[in-house]
Amino acid sequence: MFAIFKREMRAHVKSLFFWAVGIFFLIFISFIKFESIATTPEASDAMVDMMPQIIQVMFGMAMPLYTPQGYFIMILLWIGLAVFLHAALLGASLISKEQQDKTADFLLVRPLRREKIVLAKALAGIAQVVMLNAVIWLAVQVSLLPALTGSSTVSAVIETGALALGSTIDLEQGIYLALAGLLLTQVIYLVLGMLGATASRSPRHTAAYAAIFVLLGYLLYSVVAASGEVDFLGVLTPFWYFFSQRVLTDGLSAAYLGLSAVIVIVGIYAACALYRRRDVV
Amino acid sequence: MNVLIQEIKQYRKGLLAWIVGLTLGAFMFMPFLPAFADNVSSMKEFLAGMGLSLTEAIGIDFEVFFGPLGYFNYIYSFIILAAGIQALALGLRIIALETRFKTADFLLTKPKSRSSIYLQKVAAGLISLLVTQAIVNLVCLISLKAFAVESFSLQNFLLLVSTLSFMQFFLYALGILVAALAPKLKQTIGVAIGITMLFYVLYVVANLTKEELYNWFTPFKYFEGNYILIHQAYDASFLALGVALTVVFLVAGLVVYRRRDVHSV
Repeated sequence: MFAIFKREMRAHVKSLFFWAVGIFFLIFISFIKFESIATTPEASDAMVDMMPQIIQVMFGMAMPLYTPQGYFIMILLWIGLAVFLHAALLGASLISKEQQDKTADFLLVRPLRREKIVLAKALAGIAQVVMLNAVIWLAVQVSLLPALTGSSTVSAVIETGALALGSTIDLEQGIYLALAGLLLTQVIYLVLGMLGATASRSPRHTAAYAAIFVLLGYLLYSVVAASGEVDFLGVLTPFWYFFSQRVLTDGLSAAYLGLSAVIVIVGIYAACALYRRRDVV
Repeated sequence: MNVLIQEIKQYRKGLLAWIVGLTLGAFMFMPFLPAFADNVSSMKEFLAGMGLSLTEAIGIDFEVFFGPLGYFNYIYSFIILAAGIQALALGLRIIALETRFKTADFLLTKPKSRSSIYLQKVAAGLISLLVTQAIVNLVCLISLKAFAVESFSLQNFLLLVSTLSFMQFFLYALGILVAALAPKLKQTIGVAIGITMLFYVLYVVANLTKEELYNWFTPFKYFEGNYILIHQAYDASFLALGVALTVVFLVAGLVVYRRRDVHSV
């Protein structure tokens, strides 16, 4: 089992490296210049204000961008979209690449139960999304947090942002919690990607299905966040579970923590069960 | 000719899915246009009550941003992001998939020069992209006509939608070069999403922070709708850079593809 884990880690090391460099770079350049945004509230904010609520939410611009909270929510939405796609595609490819590359029969004749194969792949996937999340965490450490303690202008806008959100928790703590929420959502999408790939018959299309699934989740999140009245629909989209705006306001929601645990455990179990009965050609 | 036909046949279903997705995406936002126009006119009245015009209040000539084309441009930037992913993935796909499906040696043993294969593949992709652009832009034009309260200039509309073509061709060429340089590439859509999102967020951040240096590294700046709205023209130096890079990528792709080592199965 450990051999499979190691193999999967090695097989994805290059792509993980590129994702990590890209994401680190993005977060770094986004936050390092934050002070210049805080000191000159953007003129095109007026444009954003005119937009209907749903579009503001889709672009992550429902909060004023010159506050650290609003800016963090926007950047984290984009980063989230990217890393969730990464997680779902990774999950799908962990399962389906064996058939696509015609290595499945080689793998399955090893003296190892199929459940263990799926489990080893899931662990390798989780290890990789954790690493990507660690990179995000590191990038936030070296770019956003120093910018927040910089000047008096910045501390004034922190107050403005906290008031606009009505937050009950400290900003720095909120940021850590939001990143933890991001990690949980990554794991959920990873597991769902694997589950989709074990359930789907054609290994060629699993990547496209996984991407479409994430995009649908994003659209549904926009509807839920924009309307403000159909929060219960949020259950259907992992984007919503630990949406950074909610995390910065109230912290991680216990109900969604429970739901995530259930999805991950049931998802891996179901993936094992489906893979055991799968006709692998 | 055979390679071209074969490529188009293979991409038919994917192309259809992309076109449906993109047109739905563009169409979805248009019904909000009247609400946007309402917000703008109440804002104008409010400012007029204080004896100000929109332009004076905001400082730059933003009048143009609040017309139908301003709204359209905002939405369209999103469509371009998605269409960019399509183009980049297609560029990767036409080169990388032969290796993945182990059909590369079958193709290369045919009595055809590699240049001819490369050119036919590139042409097949270009045709697919042109079809995408034509349909998406047509739907945009019709729905914009249907929902816009004020009239807008058709010439400016055409100038705006031409950014989609430049953008797609740029990313397509980049995808081809990347695939030619990375023979072991397996997943196309993930790479395409990663690179395109990187460019896009870089562009958004460059705009927000006003950091001039970032602009040189993102094609979303080379072919920028905002600039066209204000000046009714492209920024010549960025346009030249973008087009030049597109050509360089395509030629470099050909050079690499001609000489690269292809393993038999």
